[in-house]
Amino acid sequence: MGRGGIYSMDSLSGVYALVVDSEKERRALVSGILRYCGALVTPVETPAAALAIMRLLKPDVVVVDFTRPEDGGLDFIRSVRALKPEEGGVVAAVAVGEGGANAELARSRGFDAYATKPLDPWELCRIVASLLTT
Amino acid sequence: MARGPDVPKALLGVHVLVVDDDPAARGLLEAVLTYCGAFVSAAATAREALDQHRRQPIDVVVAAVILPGEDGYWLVREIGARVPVVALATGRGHGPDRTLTAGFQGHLRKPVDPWELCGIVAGLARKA
Repeated sequence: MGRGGIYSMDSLSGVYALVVDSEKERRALVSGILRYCGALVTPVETPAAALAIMRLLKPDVVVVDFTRPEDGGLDFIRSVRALKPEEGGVVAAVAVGEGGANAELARSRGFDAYATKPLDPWELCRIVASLLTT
Repeated sequence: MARGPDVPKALLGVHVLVVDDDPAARGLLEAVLTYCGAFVSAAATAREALDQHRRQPIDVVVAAVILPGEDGYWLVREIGARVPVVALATGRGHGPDRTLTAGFQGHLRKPVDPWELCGIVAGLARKA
């Protein structure tokens, strides 16, 4: 049995995740990890597309590429946190990036957690699961 | 509905018809219901939904209240007595006081919690 164990297969069952990443391969990787752990995932390329979806469905978590925060991650989290609770403004938010100063920046701007690349799949699933345990 | 390993089984064996004129919305609602275990059909208009209902047995309908042409209220008048219809409402003027009185058996306001959607559909499917 691998490090993830059976736990990983359904640790995110009943979790709706919106993955926001402009880069195709990275988007597929993050989405694939979350799906493996049992989540329902909608991958989108742009913050605008994510906000459009959030007018229809409330995600449990948004997982946002934060490699270059100024490319949209910062604007996106600002827009999300400006929404009313009933519009999805309280959604859990995870930034994914290189770590360092950006990790601090992410937290100070409204992200709940930061996942550092290279991504450990089980770590990403654990981070998301831990944010949703009430 | 609570998070956990039971969510993907909540709608096993349930045939749901999604009615929305926006293809993106239709796709997302289909993805949620499929994830919860349902077999999902989709229609873009109320007339198309009525057509599908005549051709195949459907357990629960999830329909946008506002549709081009005949709207959700029309659909409920046509099929509401035979199959439960859940209203997907936007904005003001179409609150639960109006939709439930009109014959819808469930009411959800956009943005919708996906698990509330599955829960409401599961409840109506059990009753049917």
